[in-house]
Amino acid sequence: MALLQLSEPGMAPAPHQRKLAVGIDLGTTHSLVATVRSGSADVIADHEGRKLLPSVVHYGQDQISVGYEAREQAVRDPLNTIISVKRLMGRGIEDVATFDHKMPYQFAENEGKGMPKIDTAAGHVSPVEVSAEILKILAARGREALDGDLDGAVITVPAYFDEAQRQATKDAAQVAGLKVLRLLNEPTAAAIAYGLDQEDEGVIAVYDLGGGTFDISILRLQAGVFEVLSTGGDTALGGDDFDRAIAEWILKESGYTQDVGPSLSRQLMERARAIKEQLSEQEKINAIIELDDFYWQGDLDQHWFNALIAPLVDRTLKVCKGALRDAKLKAKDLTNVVMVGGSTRVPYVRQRVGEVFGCDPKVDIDPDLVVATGAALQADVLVGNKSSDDMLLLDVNPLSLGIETMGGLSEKIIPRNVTIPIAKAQEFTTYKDGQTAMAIHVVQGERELVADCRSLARFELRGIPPMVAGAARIRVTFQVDADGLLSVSAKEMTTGVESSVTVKPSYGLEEEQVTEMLKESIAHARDDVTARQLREKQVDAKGLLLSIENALAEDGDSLLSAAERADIEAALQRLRDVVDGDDIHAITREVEKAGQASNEFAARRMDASIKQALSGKALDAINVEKEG
Amino acid sequence: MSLKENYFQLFEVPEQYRLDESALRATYRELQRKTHPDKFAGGSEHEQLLAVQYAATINDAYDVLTSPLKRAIYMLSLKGIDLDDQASGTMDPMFLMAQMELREELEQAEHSSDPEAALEKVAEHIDSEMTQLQAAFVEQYEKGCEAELAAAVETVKKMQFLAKVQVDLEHLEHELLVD
Repeated sequence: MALLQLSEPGMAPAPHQRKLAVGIDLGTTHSLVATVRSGSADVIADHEGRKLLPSVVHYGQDQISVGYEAREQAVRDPLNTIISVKRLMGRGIEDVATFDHKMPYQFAENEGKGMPKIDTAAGHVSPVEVSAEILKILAARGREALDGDLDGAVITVPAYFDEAQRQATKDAAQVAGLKVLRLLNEPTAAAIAYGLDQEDEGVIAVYDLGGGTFDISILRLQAGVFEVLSTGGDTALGGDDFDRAIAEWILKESGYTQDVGPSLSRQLMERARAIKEQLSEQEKINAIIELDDFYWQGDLDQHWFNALIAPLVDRTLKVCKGALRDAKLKAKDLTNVVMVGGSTRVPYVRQRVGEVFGCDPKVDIDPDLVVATGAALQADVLVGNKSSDDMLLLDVNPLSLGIETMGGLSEKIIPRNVTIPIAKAQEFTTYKDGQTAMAIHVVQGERELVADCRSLARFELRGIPPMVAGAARIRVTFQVDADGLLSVSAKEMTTGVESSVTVKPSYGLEEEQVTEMLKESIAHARDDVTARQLREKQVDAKGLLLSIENALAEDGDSLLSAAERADIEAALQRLRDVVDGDDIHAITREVEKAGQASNEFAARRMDASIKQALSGKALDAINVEKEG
Repeated sequence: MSLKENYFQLFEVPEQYRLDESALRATYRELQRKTHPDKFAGGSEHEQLLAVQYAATINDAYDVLTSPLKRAIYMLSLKGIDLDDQASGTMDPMFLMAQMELREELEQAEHSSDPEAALEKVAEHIDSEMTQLQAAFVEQYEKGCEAELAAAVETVKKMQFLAKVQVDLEHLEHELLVD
């Protein structure tokens, strides 16, 4: 019995009740959108039948183009054509300066801190906004295919993305006007696509080498439960780096001595990519490269290519061994190895992965499509079309979260590879008489020195009751939700006073900035902002009404007194009275009140459901004994 | 059944150190199936927050109940003993000596000709000591009188020592992999 199930397990809702949801793979080099129709998940193609959308955005003076059209501009107008924006998500301008390979864009000056802004013909744009443009195209594709507004989307992120990178992705979805049902880790999405198709049981490794990121996850699959045991990766390593290695080798061989400008650099990368693809199909090729004043020709073979990329592949394999160790497993314990991401088409990658894990990697599902497919399956469950009793995902926190302590050391609060959601509390005290505020610096990473970890945010606790130094006991709770996102709350334990927490994300956007971007983005689309906000509010309110009504019908009699029930019914009626009107503030107010009125009921239902789970299990055990 | 109850009660297992891991695991999955936030993606904001809180507590409970050291510390806390508040008395000198030897072993393993195999041996050594300490803890805790509980605290402190060596060992193993 689920609290909010809209239909009984095994019973599909009537067609008109079906909610519209999509899964989106927002990749470094290309992105995809998939959905579940008539029981199976499919990637949605564009009008020309193309499933992939190049993750490229071109900013012209008058218009923004995305995808193939934008990619055509990459050589002609490299400074205004943003490719691989995923590498910039959740990064600071000072991170960009330390990238191994310089990006061709002009970054706007912003005191050398915070989120980088790219200077384009259409003004300054942040990576979040660039990603939002890609998401908008995919969302439109989904709306058209499903013939209606989307109720929500699952968006995939590399498992090894840190908190700032995840938050940036969620912000981009919000700017694109998408309701995010869940941020799902890419390897986990791939496991769903494989696992549900083939009803696998056992332990699998998902090796995911995309255009710009690498992930490895080890999962245990059993009876519809996907339990991530460990994860590892490198968010700055992918097939792009193979291309770059080829381009740099050719450049060196050619003896070209002049400065390589952004346009030639882009063209060389494109030729390098073509060479990589050819050498993934055939043993050897003769390459002739003639670009502007650049010329090189020569024979290239797989042997040469393998040697060139070996150091990069080695890096991924070390991470794989680490993930196995973290899962406390040996290679022989694995049932399967699943290959994901376009870069796993390279035969050398497959061969080396096979050697490390001691089995032939599985490549049944197109490695470009598998992540979006899995995301669509999860979206279908989360939106309520498919019973969630069939599937449960238990994912982990990829990188330890810690706080800065004396001496610039990081004290780990939430370790990596623990199952999320997770909450941990830590107590702090004041060091001065009458101290009413305190600053906490949250970092992410495995290293001991704060300077070697990533700064996530600075929290300021205010409203601590004045006491003598050391008397206050401030309990700070760090919580990581199922999206891998962090929230912090604080309470002074001797007085019970809640401290307010102000977050200053190190690289992210403040809540208001996201709202501002959303407004601008809607204004750009010439949509009526107020009408759209009202519509969204009404949909949310009706969803809440429906879920509480269902809950009352199921458990109202058993869990509530007549008076308690009457209170909730009254709150619901007040919400019903305003829900179809156009007073957005009244709807917001009544939604909040209806929520408050039913909070205790929701908690009792949760407790009852736990109790039922345990008694159900006990019954099963008895049955098994009888049968045995 | 509610979150206010202790972890043993939450999982409906007897309040004892030795637990049936496969039963714990089955209960854990059932509880997660009921409370995981994925079940409430369409619910109200409050329900979603509630689900995160429940699922987080269940995750923490499972972590504590399946970890030999955390479980022991937790059981002491149920008796009102906070390990952090315990005065750091003098440790058993024999034990300290054994610890120093273990550290030495670790250092030698790192520089030996086959560090992986050598580290494996140290890990086995730690495991067997840990097993002995666990057996001692069970006995002391079950007797339950004040003197025995004080002894149980000492046992857990020794476990903590060993756990630290274990962390360093894992760190070394990791470095070996990366180089």
